[in-house]
Amino acid sequence: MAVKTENVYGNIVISDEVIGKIAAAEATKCVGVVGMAFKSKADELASILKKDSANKGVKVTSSGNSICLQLHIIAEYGVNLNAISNNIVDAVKYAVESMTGFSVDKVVVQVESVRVSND
Amino acid sequence: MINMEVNALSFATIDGITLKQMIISAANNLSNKKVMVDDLNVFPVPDGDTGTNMSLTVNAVKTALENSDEDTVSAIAEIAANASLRGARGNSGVILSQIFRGFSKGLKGLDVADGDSIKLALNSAKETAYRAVMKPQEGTVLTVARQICEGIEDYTFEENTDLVEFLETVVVVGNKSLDSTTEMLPALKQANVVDAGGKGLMTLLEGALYFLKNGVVVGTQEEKVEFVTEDKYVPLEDIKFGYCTELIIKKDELKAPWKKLRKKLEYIGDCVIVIDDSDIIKVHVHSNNPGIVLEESLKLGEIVDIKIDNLKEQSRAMVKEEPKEYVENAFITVATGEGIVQVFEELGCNSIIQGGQTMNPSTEDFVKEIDCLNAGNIYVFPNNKNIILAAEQAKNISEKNVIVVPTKTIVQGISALLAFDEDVDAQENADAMLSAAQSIKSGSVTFAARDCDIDDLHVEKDDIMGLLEGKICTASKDVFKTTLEVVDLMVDDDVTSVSLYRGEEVSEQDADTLVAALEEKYASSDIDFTVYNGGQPLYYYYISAE
Repeated sequence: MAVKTENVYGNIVISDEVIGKIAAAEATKCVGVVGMAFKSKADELASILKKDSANKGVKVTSSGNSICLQLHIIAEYGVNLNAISNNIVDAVKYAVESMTGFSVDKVVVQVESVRVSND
Repeated sequence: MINMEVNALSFATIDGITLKQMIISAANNLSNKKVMVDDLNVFPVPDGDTGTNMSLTVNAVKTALENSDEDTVSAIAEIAANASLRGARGNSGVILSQIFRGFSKGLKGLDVADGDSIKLALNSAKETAYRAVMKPQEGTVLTVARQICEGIEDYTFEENTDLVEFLETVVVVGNKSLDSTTEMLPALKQANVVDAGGKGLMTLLEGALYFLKNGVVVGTQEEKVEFVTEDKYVPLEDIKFGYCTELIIKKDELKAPWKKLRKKLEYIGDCVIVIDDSDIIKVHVHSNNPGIVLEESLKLGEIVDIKIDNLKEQSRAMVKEEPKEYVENAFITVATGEGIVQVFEELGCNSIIQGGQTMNPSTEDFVKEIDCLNAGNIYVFPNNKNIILAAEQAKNISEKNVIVVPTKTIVQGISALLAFDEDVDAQENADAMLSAAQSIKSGSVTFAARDCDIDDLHVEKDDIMGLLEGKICTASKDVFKTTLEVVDLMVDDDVTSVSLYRGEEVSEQDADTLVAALEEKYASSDIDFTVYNGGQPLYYYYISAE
């Protein structure tokens, strides 16, 4: 689906993929996030067939003018997962809202994995 | 420990206790300056309170350290790392916790730290901080951390190298790097500020250095934040001391110890703040004798940035801003031009938003005006078809009873307002106003901003065109001619009166000539022509016919 709005001149439609890319780009900028994880096994298989997508790890559910986001992240070992998750929610909500003009109703951060460094 | 005999102002090594005091001193320093760091933040959300977040994080460390009696650097650093991990708040707090973690890793197993191991620990701190970010951005706290490490890379430690000197170098390099962040991120450059996180880090390092140099931790000034809010909401009758006096004393020529000033001021007023801030002393006091405050401060040294406010007056001003008296019906309209605005005011408009064809007010403008009004029904007249949507959106946002009457032109707005009847309910009024607006014919005369072809009409740039209900209907090179044509198109058998609102570019004389010509032309059909001074920009005439 996608979000839509209209003004006197016509319609504006923003697809889920766009929202997903914005969210993924913003999430990976956050401290403590070292990568995005696949949403499911099916995605993992699909990614073998095509190139890694820019909206990897983001599930967008949108209809009308509301957006719900689910982010699957990989975190660095040794960070406060609660703190970084809160940051991600704030940052992603802000980025998506400011760039699209639509309000984000919900952001769910799922920490799928933790990267443990070897030293 | 081995450096028990060492002079307090010179360190060859740092032991656990010293490290602990350094961190506490750093935490206090940041607490004192967190508002300043917050103010640097140019990104409205998120993490708009970098200073507060970093301060909360490092204060968690401080609390943990105060409750421990470890005395090795390794143990102290580890406590700091763990506490900051748990206490991390916001992006900046998380980075800070990573810095502590890396620092602790670098000091692992050591009882006391010498220069080389501190250098190593700083490097490790930077590494760890960088690893936590997938796409490190330059111009942030990370840049400062990295450039500090680069700057001290060649620093070599001799037998008696003083660590105070080393840390001073760190602070100098760091501050230089901090200054350069302004140039690295466009957002920072625009606001002409340095990165807030970087400033926070430097504030911490400066606090740590302060302890090493002076042997005492930086004091806290917790009360500062409270007073800022207290200043705002004091009811008039509760004001005991009528004047808020603020000033800064230059510290370089202190004639007496400043600490006594606080005691003196507490005798004559309240809300006393005397803050020692590196090279100045900030003084803030509420008293009834601003003169004495100045006198006492002058005894210490040169004073600058003097500000005296009358608190009672402030309080009175604030009372005035309280919600307006309740009215049953209120009107918001959009208009430009002195005369037009005046017409709307005379018709009883409560609030007029400046705007129109070229300056469409935003939804927020409407919401702001709506919020200001205290009324049962708020009628909004957008007076332009491009503004109707913004008004509708404001209606959706606002919790008040807002009725948007979708008027498309100024003259529609005026006639809608005229149709208002106090004795009927809101819905009936809205319907009546809308039908009044639609029954009137509105025309306008303006110039073309570019060439265009509409239907059969060819319009060149700067031609004078006539619009009827927002559509271009005629064009010529002459205001007079076009206006006549527009009126001609508007007038039919039902029309009895025509009003013209002349724009700022039309002189009274021109308008009179026009009316005379019109009266002559329609002498047979008994139509009243009236001209008003609208003063609107861009449009030569707004014309209404009814």
